[in-house]
Amino acid sequence: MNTIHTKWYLLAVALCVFLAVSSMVMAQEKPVLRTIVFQGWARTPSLQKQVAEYEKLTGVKVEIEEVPFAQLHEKMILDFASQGGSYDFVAPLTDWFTELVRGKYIAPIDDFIKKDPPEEWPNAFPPALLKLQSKDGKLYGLPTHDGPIMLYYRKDLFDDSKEKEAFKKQYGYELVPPATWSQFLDMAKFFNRPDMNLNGTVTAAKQGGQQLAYDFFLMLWSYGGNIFDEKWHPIFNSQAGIDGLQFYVDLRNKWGVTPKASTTYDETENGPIYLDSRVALMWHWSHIAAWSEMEDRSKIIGKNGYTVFPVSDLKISHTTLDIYWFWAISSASKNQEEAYKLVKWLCNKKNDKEAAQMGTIACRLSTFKDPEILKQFPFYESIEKALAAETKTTPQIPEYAQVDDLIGIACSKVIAGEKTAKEALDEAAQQVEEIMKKAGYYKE
Amino acid sequence: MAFSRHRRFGTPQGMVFPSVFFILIVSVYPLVYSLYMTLHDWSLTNAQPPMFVGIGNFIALFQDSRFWYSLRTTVLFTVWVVMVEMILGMVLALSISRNTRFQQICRSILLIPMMITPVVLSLMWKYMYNPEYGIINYLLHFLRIEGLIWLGEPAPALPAVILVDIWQWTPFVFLLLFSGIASLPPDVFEAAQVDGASGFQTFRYITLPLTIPFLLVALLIRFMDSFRIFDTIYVLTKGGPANATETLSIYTYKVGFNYFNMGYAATLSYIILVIITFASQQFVKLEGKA
Amino acid sequence: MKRSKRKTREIWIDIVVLIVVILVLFPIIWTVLTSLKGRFDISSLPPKVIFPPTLENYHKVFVEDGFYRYFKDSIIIATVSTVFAIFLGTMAAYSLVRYRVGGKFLPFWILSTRMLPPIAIILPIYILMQRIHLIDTYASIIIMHILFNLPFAVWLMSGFFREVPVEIDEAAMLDGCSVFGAFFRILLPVVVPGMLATTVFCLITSWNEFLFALILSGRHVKTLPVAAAFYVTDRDILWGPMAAVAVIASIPIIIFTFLIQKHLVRGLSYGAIK
Repeated sequence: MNTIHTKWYLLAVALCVFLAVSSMVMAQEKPVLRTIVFQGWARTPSLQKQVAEYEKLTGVKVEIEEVPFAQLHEKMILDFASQGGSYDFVAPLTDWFTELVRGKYIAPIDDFIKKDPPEEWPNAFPPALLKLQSKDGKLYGLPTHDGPIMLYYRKDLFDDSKEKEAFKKQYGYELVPPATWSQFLDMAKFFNRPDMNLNGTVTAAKQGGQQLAYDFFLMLWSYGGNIFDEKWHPIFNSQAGIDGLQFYVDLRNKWGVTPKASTTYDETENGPIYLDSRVALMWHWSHIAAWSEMEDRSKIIGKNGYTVFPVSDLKISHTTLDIYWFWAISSASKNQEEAYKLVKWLCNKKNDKEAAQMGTIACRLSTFKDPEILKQFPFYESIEKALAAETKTTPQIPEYAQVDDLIGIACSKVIAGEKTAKEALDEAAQQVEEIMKKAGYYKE
Repeated sequence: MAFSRHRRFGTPQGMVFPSVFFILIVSVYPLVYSLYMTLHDWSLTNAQPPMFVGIGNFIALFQDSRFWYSLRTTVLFTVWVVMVEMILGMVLALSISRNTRFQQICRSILLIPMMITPVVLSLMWKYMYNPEYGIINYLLHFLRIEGLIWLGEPAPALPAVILVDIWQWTPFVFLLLFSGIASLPPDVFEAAQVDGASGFQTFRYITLPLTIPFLLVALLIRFMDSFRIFDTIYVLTKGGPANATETLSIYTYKVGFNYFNMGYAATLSYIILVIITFASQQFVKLEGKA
Repeated sequence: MKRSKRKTREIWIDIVVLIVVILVLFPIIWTVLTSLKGRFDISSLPPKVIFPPTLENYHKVFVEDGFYRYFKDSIIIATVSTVFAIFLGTMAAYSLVRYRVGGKFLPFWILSTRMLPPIAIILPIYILMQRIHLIDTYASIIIMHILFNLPFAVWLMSGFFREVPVEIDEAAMLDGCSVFGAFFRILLPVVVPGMLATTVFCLITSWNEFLFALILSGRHVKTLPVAAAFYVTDRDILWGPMAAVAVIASIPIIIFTFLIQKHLVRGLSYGAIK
């Protein structure tokens, strides 16, 4: 009897000890950091490799959820808005920054930086890559994958002496990379040889795609216009907007220098066409410059040239569009400090460079100047200059998604020939004004 | 009596209740919630609680030309899809009703399209529709027909989307109608043949009236599903070009998950629900009469 | 004379049918061919019909990208939700048909839940699932798929029960079966073809559903349609692997349907879904 009691007693003690020890172990266990990225992101391969290293290094566990690109934005906002707390850190696009800040979904990182600054802080990143995730003097994240728009051209074609000669004979001036739209058009027409499987240029004009509204902004700026005035009234239906859009539409409808199918292309589809050596010149995000030098993606290794985005008139200064991805820390996270440490680590010199070698556009000044990088991807040389020059971005307002959509529809209608540029832009401007009014921008 | 003790757990009448409870719990809460949202202005991205606006969303809806246009597109899509699928399904069911080996195999093959995931399948159609390296224009080229920019011009975009839906769901209509015809008593047809009725007469006066219940069922299901069409269009065109393929579901989705304007999205989805329910009730009434 | 005329007509019909079948099959064949193409053959101009076939896309899908996981998730979700929908639906249909519970209203109300536009309920469902911590679990997706399939199952099964003469129940009960005994032992075996037909539709719906599977899935649980979107990247659409996914995702359903095809047609025609 007694012995049985003792047995049970011992067992109970053992159990208690076991529970106590295991709960202590649990308590000491490193936190789990969760994030969400989209499937096929250029940063994902390097991210996975680096996260695995980090886990080994620190014992922190990192969980990466992958969703389709189109759903990244909505899943992120849904989770934040329903206080799901599923993500400790996220990688949003700068387009979404104001939404996230207004919703108080992401936290400023200034205090963390003060305590534990990233390598070479504050001169680690070009100022242009810290600007778009800052608000009211607070910084909300570190940049990770960048993409100013550049103009690309086929160096082999532009340097060919026969082509040079023929071009000069036909147009009366030298064949050099275009600085203005009229030169761009001349050259696109000159190289447009559909029977030889070569297009002058290729645009990505699909409604509902990422690029159409961006392209309109680029045209608008290059004609000297602006999207909003200082009081947030839409002014993109100015003459600059109309002319810019008309030029853009004419590339397809009047001159036929971009394929008729370009209305079905998103930026994901026109890039590969250039890399497949079927286009003479085009504008696109910076990754095209990197990818054109990568064997598994490109048939034009060593043949890609790049220059600044053209303007309508040389009196207007060259502008480009910049939008980038950045790491931000969720306000709802219980492990903000750990999340910051990981983000800092992902953005350190070694990892930034490694990411560049694996197909992203790096963000650190040190990577821009790294001899190894410059050897493989010579365009990094000019990226700092491009960023230091005038880069503009999409309107930093939470209503941007809607504005983007409306402008895309307007452009699509003009391309389809249903409306003139003026009609479509006037209509879109009126709708945008309505949205801004409802959102309370015009209260004095 | 092996099962008599089950009596304690309920009566046969009660066997419907697990389902009713399940549906109540899972669907009524969201519906009430949505209804609440239709009366509010609520954006997910401004960190403010929903603001009561009464029927403001409904008023905005009636003034929203984009809503009317998408309604028009939805109706066009639904009418075409349902009509063509009914006719094709009927014709196929009539022509493949014999029990030869060949026809049996054809029947099996015809069922395949409805089993393929719409999202993946639409992507494959997008690949085939590609004006440059797509196979469709390539084949048309052989027939000396100039290919179209299928998904890139407003005029062919809606028909192109309709075609995908017809391709995928005609098999379903075919299956229902074929089963219906197979269930008809064979002596009716024999009698008709003895009376010397022509093929068309047999169809018009015997097959058609007898299969009307099946037709109505197919019609109802296809109507409900095509009116809320989302996956296919979202993948193929996202509503473009020039908004030519923006159906109500696509518009609702954009308002809800791109603009995060939840109140207005709820209002739009309620309108879809009301239209489908109302129209379905008419079908069910018709069915009762038939 | 008349007979031979009829024969020729049948041959003509068969020829037309053959053409239709080829047209219907064409996108499928093209998908299969695409899945066997190498990276540069995919976007070649003009499209290549003859090319060196390669299994690299399948290798990528299964080995590199680990699609067997999504396969497993899809199978679990489709099976469980179908079993539940059939089970609940059959019971409900029985009492709706035999005992006219709820009159005309209840059947229509159940059916009307199938009309719900997913968009209408997705946000509240998301918030609800978030609160009870079911995001990224099998349970949440299964629950939603049962919701989609249940009305349809009830509706189809009602048709089947209606076709079974009441005399069968009565005879069973005269033989001494209880009401439940009659249901399980006599009625159920009679409607098995109908249940199989219903199973096919439920499986197809659950296997292919996208929107809820997307919103409710996460790192741990992901169905095939959601994972297939993997190949629409931000910079490129990978048509080859996509086609490979289309092929492998379709095969289980196609095999299952073919296996029970006889029952399918018999079930549907016998049930005379009225």
